[in-house]
Amino acid sequence: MMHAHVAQFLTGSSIETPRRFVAVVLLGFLALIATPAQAQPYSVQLVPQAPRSLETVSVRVTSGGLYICLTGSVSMGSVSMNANTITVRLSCVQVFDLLPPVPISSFDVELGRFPAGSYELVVIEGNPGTPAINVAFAVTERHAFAFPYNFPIADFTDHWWNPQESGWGISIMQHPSDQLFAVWFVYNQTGQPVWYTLQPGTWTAPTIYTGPVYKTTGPYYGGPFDPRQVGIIQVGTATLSFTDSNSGTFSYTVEGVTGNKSITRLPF
Amino acid sequence: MPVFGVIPATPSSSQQFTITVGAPNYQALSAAATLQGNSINVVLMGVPVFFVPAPPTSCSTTAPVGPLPAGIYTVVLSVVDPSSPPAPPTFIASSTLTVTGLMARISYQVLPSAPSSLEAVRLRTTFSGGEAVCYYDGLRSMSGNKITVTLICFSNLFGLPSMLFDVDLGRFPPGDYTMEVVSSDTKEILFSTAFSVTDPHAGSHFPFNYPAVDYTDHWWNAQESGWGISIMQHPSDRLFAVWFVYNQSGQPVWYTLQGSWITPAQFTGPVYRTMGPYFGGLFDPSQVGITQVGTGTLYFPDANSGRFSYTVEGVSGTKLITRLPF
Repeated sequence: MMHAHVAQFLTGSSIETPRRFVAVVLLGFLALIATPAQAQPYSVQLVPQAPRSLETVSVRVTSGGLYICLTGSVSMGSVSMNANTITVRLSCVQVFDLLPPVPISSFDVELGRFPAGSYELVVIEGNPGTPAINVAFAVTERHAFAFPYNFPIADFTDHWWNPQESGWGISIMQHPSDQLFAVWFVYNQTGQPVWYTLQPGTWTAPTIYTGPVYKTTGPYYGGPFDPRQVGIIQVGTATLSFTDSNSGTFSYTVEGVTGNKSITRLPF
Repeated sequence: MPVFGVIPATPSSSQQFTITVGAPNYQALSAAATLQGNSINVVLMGVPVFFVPAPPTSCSTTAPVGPLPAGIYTVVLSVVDPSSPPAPPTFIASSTLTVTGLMARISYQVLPSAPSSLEAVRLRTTFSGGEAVCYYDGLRSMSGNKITVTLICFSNLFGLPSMLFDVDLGRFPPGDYTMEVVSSDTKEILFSTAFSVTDPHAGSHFPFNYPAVDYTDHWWNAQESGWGISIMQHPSDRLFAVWFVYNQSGQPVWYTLQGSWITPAQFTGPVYRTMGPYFGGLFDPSQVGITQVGTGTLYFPDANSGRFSYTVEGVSGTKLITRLPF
């Protein structure tokens, strides 16, 4: 029943996210006093500073010296949005004076991907007396309407498969540049895993992407990797045609083999 | 019984239509319709007939109407005997009539209906053969947590039977949002809805073993162009990675990594190698074999850089990785 195992590993159904306690070692060693912070104990930076439509926007929080700042992840409820104002809540603690300063460090918290508009980021630190940091930013639209409109209007990034053929897949990455980079991972004539890349290609419609397929060979991963030893050869062409944002068809002619596969997003 | 019909049965706002009328005991001669507010007054000119049986079924006539703006109308039928003026019209019957808009066969839906934090939210527009067809015109914006998508609409000149398209709206933090679909030329609001983005981990406590960043991308080492690692992360916080490298004979080979988050920035788990049927033949999933060949750990000091440490088929290594720019 190998296919059952494959289905399991592909869907991740056998994996449980651990909920076990992992101590933050640093916190364990430092004596920390949660006193009201008078000065700004951290700085923030928007990444990227001028986001494009639906590009991932994060905030980079840097702290150190006499303070250490933490946040929950986005999913911990530390980020929320109302009237185009995104609020991030941090918790900073002051290091006990007799201890050495904490090294400067930073962490990123993802805010989201937004349509065009004007936004404000407000970072609030939990201790009373610390002023909030406000960062205004604008998200700009990538494309005005043009005819023909050959830009993707949905993000097809995901791991795609055919549920009836669990074992092979196609990994599609789509960037805010609208460029797409796909890797098809299948098996060769001896049953060994082999991968091909579909790139660079062209959107011929908002839902149809077509381009050359390459096979690469290169140095064994067990040794030093010399990129000059990598060989790349075009072995065919392929087209991704999406009927909606969650289903499509992968048509290909690769190393003399022509095929047509229905694909959907791999749920996991 | 009065004869009363509309052709076509549900006219649209661009169509002229006809109302067929007849009245018992009247020989129908002609009919005319006038509009008064939302009332379509149809006056039938008819000669009374007094023989039995009456009237013959052919005693009806038609009145052209419209086109009318979309809405619900009341059709009021009365009859006038032209041979005996000035008798007032005699009320016979009334009925309601719906005139549909051009956009009546276009529907909108926000998917998923209850998104979680940073999950992709999409607008699905479904068209089922109406008189107008709409396309995304490339504009979506957000102000005051209200997302506006504009569509450009045309007459369905080519008789397109059906169409569906999805537009990404974004990925949002927890909050309450509204969405409006607006016609780009008339500025008419075609659709409006509200949705809430919720936090799947609300009420969870320290430690936070959930990623604060979506690491989904194709990652590489810029000094070692040729191999890569494709990382997919879902709103479930699960991660599925495929490592694309080369074997001892230089041939491309791939391994998969699945596991769990130890911290918001560290993911670790087993690495598998799979074998399966040649892509040139029928794919029988029962022929796929999977073997664990090692373990791998991804660590991300920030959203755009990471470290991949692995022991795979007896080979241990650590590679610095960044997002592949393209």
